[in-house]
Amino acid sequence: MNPGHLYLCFIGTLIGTLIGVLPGIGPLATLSLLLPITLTLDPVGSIAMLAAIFYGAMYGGAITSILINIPGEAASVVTTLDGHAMARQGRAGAALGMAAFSSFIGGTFALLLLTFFSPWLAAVAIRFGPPEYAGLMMLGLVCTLLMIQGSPLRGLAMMALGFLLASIGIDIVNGTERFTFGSINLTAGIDLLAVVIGLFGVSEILLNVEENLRSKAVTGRIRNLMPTRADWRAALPAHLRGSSLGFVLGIIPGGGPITASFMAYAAEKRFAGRSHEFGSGRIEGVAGPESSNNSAVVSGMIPLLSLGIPGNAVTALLLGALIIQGVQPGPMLITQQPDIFWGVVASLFVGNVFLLILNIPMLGLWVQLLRVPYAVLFPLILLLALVGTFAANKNLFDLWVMLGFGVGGYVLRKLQYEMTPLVLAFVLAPLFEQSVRQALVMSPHGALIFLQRPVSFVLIALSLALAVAMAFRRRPVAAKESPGPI
Amino acid sequence: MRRLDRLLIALWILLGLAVCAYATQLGLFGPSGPESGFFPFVTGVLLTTSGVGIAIVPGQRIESSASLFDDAAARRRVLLVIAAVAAMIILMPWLGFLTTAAIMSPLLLRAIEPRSWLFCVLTGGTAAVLIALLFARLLDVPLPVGPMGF
Repeated sequence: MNPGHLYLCFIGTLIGTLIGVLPGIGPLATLSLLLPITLTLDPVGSIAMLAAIFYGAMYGGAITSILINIPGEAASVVTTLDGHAMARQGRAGAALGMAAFSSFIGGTFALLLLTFFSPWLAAVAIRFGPPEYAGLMMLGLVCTLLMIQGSPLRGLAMMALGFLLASIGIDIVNGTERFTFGSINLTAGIDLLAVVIGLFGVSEILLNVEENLRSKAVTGRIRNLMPTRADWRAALPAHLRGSSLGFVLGIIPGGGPITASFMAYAAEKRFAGRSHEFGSGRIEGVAGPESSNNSAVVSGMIPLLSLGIPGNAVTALLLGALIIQGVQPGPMLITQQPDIFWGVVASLFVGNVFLLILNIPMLGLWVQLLRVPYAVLFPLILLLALVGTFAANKNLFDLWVMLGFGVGGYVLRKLQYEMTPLVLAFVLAPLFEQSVRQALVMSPHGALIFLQRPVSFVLIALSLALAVAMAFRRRPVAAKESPGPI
Repeated sequence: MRRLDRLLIALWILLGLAVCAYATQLGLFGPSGPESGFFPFVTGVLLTTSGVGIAIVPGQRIESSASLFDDAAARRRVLLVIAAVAAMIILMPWLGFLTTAAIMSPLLLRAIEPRSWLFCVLTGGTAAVLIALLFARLLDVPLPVGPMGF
């Protein structure tokens, strides 16, 4: 790490908290909009800033959850339950302070485990061949379908669409053109930036403009940011439970901060005692979810860095950022490019520290920003989407792709389709296809190689078992059409 | 919503079948293993299967007859944004990024929000200048330039 990376961590934490506070733009949309900027940075700086934005947004979302009962982003939904109740009791400061400390504790806990777990996992994964990688990616994709909130069948349609879009262009094995229909623009394939900016940035703008988003007024002064001794005593078990749960759920493909925060809240209700008091201002209801979601953000980096396999949309974007930088994450990253691996780990820790030491003193500023109307932000976001997409290849065709995906994403989200399986499949498809084809080429018995290799067999059997379990779990589409989550 | 949902289901099925047919022409298997059409063929099967699944599995289809848009005003706002972005993409090569953005942003803002012209011009114009400075000056990204040199 160098001073420039420290600066990027600082900027990322600031931007992330800002995004978490402001309504109308989420962390995924921000990451996709700022991806083009990272083209000018080195790999460590790029990931440092993007990761800092994400966990900054986790904390920023808690601010609006606590103060105005509106979650800044999805992982902060459960924080509204007890956080806002504490604010109504005049304890907004303690809730906000505990949210900040809990985020720091969860992130640090996961970082310490990442430091030991990642190298071990990479050492194991070095022995993986194409069949094992194919099995691992298949498990990741199935888990993603399992974990999404909506219909797995709709998720499968999105996943298939992601695979199809990734197929457009030239087959890297045979050099054959696929789905280009004679178009020079399609020969290079669909640009990742245009897809993610359209799906997450432009579609978000369209949804917000449709809702005619208005921000709520903030009332009251915030005092006493430090939790009491009693708060700390009550929160300690919640930190341990939340951080551990978040760490596990962050590693599992398809998991992530949103799932982690919900499950942490459920765990607190179950284990903290006096469950009937939850929802009326229990400090554990803030401490558990907040430590859990930040822990999940950090542990989500483990499969990305050690295996090269993203487990959720955010790490898929980070994988995209690394690939654009010419870095292929995976088990060889630690041995061949240790400066990048450990630079990213160090930047995660530094960003976590910045999160704490910046946000406590700057809380007043974030509270004031809640008054900023969406009308002021909206032109900035739109122009950022346009220029960010153009900056990658200087090709106007990409802008039409961005607009197409923006409109398509808007319609699909209104019809309860989730975007995470699409973007995950789009990013993983080249690797997945390469692994499957390599496995079949190297096998004298065709597809039997997937069953003959023990690790591959276990992973594929697990994937099939989960797929069957999913088939018997009914989740009907909601009658009320609110847009599907990202 | 129900009609649109049915349309989309039909699209997945037809698109999946079309992809399978196209992939077969590319070739599925050869002497050295899977050919270029193998993966797209599997993708087409998945797409068709998911479309059929959504169509026939109980509780998967959207049954609400509500419109895609909340109301006529919402539809107008959404369509205006789409039209404005399309207009900016068309105009940028001719007028340059800064001029296009400085003209279109205030117009769009005024059309969507009941704000004064001064607010719209200041907000839209400032956004255009900030983005241009960030990308063109700070990050050295060459943006489309118009007849006036910016």
